[in-house]
Amino acid sequence: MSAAPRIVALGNGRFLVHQDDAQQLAWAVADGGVTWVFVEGRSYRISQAAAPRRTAQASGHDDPRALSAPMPATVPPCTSRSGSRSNAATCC
Amino acid sequence: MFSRLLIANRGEIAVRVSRACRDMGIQSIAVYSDADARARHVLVADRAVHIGAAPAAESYLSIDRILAAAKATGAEAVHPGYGFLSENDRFADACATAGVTFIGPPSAALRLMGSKTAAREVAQRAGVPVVPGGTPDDQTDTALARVAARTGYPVLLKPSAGGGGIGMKIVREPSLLSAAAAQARREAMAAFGDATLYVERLIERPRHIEIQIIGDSHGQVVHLFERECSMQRRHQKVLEETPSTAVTPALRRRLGDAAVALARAAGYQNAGTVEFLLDAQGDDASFYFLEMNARLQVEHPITEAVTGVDLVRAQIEIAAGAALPWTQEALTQRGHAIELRIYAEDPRQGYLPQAGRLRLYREPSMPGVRIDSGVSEGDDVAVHYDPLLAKLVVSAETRETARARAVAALQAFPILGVPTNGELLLALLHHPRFIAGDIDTHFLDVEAHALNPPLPAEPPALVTAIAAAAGASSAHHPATRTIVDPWDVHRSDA
Repeated sequence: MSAAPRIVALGNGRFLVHQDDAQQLAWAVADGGVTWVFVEGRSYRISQAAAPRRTAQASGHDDPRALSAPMPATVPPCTSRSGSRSNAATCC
Repeated sequence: MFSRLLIANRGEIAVRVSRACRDMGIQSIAVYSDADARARHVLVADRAVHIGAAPAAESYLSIDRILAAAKATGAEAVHPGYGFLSENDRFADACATAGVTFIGPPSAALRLMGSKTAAREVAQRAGVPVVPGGTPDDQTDTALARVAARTGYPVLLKPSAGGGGIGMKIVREPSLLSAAAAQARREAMAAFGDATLYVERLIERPRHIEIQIIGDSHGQVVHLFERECSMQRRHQKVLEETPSTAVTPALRRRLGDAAVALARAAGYQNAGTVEFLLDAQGDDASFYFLEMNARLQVEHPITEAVTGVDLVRAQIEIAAGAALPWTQEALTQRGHAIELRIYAEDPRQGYLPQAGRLRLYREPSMPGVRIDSGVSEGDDVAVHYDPLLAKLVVSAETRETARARAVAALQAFPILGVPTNGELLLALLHHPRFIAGDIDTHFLDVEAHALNPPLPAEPPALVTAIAAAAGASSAHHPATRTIVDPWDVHRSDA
């Protein structure tokens, strides 16, 4: 059973990972809701809004599952009905 | 020697030519499209000229615009790199008309080698073997069988008018020929409106071996040994190495002699590459002429690594009228070199090209490692051009040391923001068949599953932990955040 890794941010996207009496460099960048990680020669793309996955599986720049996050908005009640009269100041 | 040279290309090869110019004291002039205004090849040149919109047809393939840039800057020579206009005989002629030296073969040689039929005829005249086969005028089963018997089984029946594998049938013994021919004719007629069939020897597990040649305007032609290029997907090379594990010294001499004979027969000058299909291995292995690439190859650095020759410098000197500085006997191979092509693509999605911003791009620096790249951190990788990001070239005394060095270099070459084929390359370097040198042109297809194993549902815990640390680092230390923006004043190189 491996011990939990200890990760030290070195700056400029570099991280030193200590684990089980060994250390290695890793690189990562966070960009909005996505974090890219490179470690042991493999790269990973991790979206905060969805399950993490490897870059090779990504179909484009944006994870489609990220679109399921709720969008901030207000939906006003709609009181008009067929045949109603409206003018420029009328909402719905 | 030239004092100003225009580079009619972009990306890593334009950077490579710029470096050679700097070594030689020649002023380099880059050209660029709208998409490349801040590209690496523009930044490393001594001057840069905008030549048009992002689509290549409106910029890098526009003979008029490139020659206008040459004229405006007083360039005396044009280096075409590879791709784009590099094998375009009309461009070579237009350069001559404009009084600018084209750094490449004469236009007549470009025309000759640009035609597969003409190139095959030149090869046959020069005594260079071509894949045995023929198209009988009499297309009956009996006549096809006669050609097949002469060629030797197994054979491939191919529609004369076709391509793309449509209508191609493998025939392993005479009794199966009639049925296969009937089916091939039906498919050929349906696809191409022509049922004529070509019979060709089937090479079951071919290797793609190419020979680098170079000739001057004084009648000298030499070869700079072979490159093994069997690691291909869809005819696109992924990994090249030299020497080949299949080529013995005697076979190397035969391949080299054939390549030089072909170049002489074609009146070839400057750098070029003769490609062969190799059947089996050992001193007596058969090889067959495929085609000649009348330009510098992408994979030229591995030849430079084992011969010590600067091929781009040699190209420029030859174009300026210099004689080759070496004889064949003076050229030797030392050690082993491997090139890995790092593409912005997704091997799990049929090598689909990928685009985006290079959020993090750090080239490794270690002994025996050379990176030829046309990109920098913060660049946008666009869909307009070839998805090649960088060539990682390693060299060492032995193949195994070079392989281990390639693994170490790949593991220290983080590229984030755009998916790449890095993981595939790593798997390839660890594959037992590659380690044993047991490869052929079908390798990537046959071993696709082993090279692209199914992805785990969840990333390793270590990755999640690093991602969490990166998020925290980004949130708490904005001055060292690593989201790379060319206008970010917090960048360490700003």
